[in-house]
Amino acid sequence: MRRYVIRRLLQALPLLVGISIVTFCIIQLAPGDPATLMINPEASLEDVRRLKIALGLDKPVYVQYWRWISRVLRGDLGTSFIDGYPVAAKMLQRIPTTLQLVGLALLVQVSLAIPVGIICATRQYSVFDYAASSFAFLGISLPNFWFGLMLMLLFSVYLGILPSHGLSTYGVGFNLGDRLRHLAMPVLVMGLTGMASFTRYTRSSLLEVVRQDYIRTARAKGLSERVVIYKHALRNSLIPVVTLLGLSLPTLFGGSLIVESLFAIPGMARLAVQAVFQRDYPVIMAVNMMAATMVVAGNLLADIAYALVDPRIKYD
Amino acid sequence: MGRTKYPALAAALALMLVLGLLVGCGPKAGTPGQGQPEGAAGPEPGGTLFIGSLADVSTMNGIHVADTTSDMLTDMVDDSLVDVGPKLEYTPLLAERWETSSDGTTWTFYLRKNVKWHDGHPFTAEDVVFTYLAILHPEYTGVRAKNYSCLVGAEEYQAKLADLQKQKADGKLDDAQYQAQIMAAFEEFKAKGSIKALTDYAVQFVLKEPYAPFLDTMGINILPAHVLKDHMGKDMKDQEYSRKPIGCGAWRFVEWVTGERVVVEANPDYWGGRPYLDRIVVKVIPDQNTMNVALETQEIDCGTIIPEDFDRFKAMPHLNIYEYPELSYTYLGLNLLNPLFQDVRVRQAIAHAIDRETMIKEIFQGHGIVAHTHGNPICWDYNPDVPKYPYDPAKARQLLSEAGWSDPDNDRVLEKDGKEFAFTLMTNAGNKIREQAAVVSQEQLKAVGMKVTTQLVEWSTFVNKHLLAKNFEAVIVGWRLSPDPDSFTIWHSKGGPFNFVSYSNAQVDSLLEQGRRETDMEKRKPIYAEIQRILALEQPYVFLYFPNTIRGINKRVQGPIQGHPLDIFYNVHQWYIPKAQQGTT
Repeated sequence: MRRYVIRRLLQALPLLVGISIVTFCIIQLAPGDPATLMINPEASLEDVRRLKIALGLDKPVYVQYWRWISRVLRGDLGTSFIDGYPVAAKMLQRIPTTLQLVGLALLVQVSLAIPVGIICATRQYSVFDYAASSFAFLGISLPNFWFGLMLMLLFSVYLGILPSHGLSTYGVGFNLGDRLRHLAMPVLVMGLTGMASFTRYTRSSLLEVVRQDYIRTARAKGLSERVVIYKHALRNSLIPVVTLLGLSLPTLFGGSLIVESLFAIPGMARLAVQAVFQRDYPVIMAVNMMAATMVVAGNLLADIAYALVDPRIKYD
Repeated sequence: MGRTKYPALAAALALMLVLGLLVGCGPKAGTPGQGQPEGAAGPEPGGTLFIGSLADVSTMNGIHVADTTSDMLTDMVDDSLVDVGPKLEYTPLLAERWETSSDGTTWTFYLRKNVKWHDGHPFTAEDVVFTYLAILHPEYTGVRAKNYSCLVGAEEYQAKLADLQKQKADGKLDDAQYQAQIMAAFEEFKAKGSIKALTDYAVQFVLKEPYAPFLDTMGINILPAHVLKDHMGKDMKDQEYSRKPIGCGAWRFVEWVTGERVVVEANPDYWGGRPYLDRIVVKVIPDQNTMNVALETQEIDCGTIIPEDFDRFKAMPHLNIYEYPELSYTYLGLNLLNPLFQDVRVRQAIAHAIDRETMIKEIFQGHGIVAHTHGNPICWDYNPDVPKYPYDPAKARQLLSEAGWSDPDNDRVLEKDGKEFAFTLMTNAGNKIREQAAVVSQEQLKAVGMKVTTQLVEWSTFVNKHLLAKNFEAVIVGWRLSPDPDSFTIWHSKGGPFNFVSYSNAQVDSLLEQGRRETDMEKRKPIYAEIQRILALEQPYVFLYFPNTIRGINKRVQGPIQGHPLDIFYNVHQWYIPKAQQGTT
């Protein structure tokens, strides 16, 4: 197992370097550059050229890439072209926010989806099953922004009990209650609209497991239905759900652009999209590399978790 | 509180806070501690003002600012030599007064003596000289260097820099040689003495010829030399100063939490007196719907309102609504290198064919005004008496037929010499308002027999590959104007890349040159009036509309609140919130 993990990690390195080269080239290929953003009648071509020299954009792409990667390997992600903030500091500001938001959303998703999935499976074709399935599909199809706006209308405008935007009340200082009040609506939006896939996975996987011979054996032994489901069936049925969790790790860092914009939450997704629009190369690269690392790590974790929860699977 | 101007292509407008002039002014108070609005209990200190902004700040360094949110905040924290008042007049700020020599080329600014930076250091002429030299530094990464080409020696110096850049690009100079030569050129320029401190409180600028828009360039927020003196050049923008400025304005910087908020607090030692409010919090709310909710639930005091929501907000008892035309217009630009648009009758026909009144009603629910020419109705140079092309499709058809266009095969598309009247109308994707304007234009031009295809292009591609490359047939885009009417870079045949429609008219060229040289406002007026008349007649653009800015401000906020073509918060140090309401919101 250890050897397998080490091998996978070593394989990941060239993969990440490859991704960085491709990303670097793609953002350079995209028309326009940060200098374009200065376009106005008072800006001259000299202004643009001077800025390019200052930012090192006048060099050939391979020189720029070499400069970038050698800086990154020394632990320096560079500074934003737009506001001069060190990229690492910018990301460190955003990561905790996104983790809170998406972490809580994931918690909501999983803690609601798994019980709902179990009930749906154990009472297949019952009213609850149909209701939950419909609800799950509704969740998938509801546009995030619309659902968010409706919540805002209800809780902020009509009831006046939740703040419409932001992360904290100005002047109050950090406290958990205040933070949770601010995160309640965004988490609800992401949680409810995202729980569908977990519910469906749990349901179908459990349904598959309860048809297995060993479950019939367990029932034949006279075990109670509760023990059969929770002790024998559930653990095995959760294997695909665990995989799904591992694969959702990148989302955890990527956040949700729509929810972040709607609720004015300064998270990673907003940072990434803004960087793309502004052609803020150092930020784009850093965010992309982080996303790539998360995908690679998420896949690896899913594989490892697989082996941990399913003794039949062994890597060597 | 200086206003830095940059008539930018207004595409980023959708993201910006839009600033403008109030129609129907509020009560006018004096400086803090003096006047007070009628009927109110009088200004009381304290309270926090919450402003909603769609965009975050990008820098707090006054010479690098290039967007409205950053401009608004640097104007609070910093002051400039000269300010622009609500009627676009120049007013003294850090410069108590200024004088020009009789030949109009030497400008001397006399500075206030009791001004201190927020760290206690005194403000002197050294700061002013530092700021303007920093803009002219060969490694300055902002966009304002060209504004100072009017200074003695500046044009030659900038030409030299451009030449060195080219040599570097061609590989004739390595990095070290380039560095040495640009710095030598800078030293040579400085030695010309076109920017110099006469005393600690007097600064002189020497121009090579009289240049009227010069005062416009004195709106730069001054930088503290004692803080930044080792960073003139390319690393200035990355300095901590850009994120934690030390200004000399009415408000002291407190914090900037990126993507979330910027906070400033009253400067008790401000030369103009302490502002009434304790604090201003600018909240970044990137979504207009959320901004609406926040304004309605009183989580913010000030927010922008879009025309669709005007009636709803107008009816809310807790809000005052301010509406005023923006200092920017949208136009349908025609590529004059394209034979299709070279006949003036064709351009006039397009103007007649587009129903701009209806367009404004459809797109802005009527919250805008028809543009007939380049001049803005707010500006002192505005000429209302220009040729106008009201909606008249019959007239449009007649003009087109005079220009030789007809429809012999009755397919409702005009033809001439076997070629159909067909072109592509481009605008930038993501700007809903322009997208709508493009579709409306397309429909209306179809009605007079033109086959128009619309195309949406991502902004930076649009600018680089189409506008600046002159690779387009027709575009819908906008200009944000500066208070000075000089529009040389847009209309002069040698104006540079921003004359991308390739307009060329010897008379306009000569008028633009005259207008720049004439410093007397009264004598400039007829010059710009004539330029506006010719542009309206010739329609190198089909001018579409000036949108209005609409702002909602909570009634708890009082004082001389009054629109301003550049920034409604220009006198926010005179605003106040009565004691009883300081705790709300």
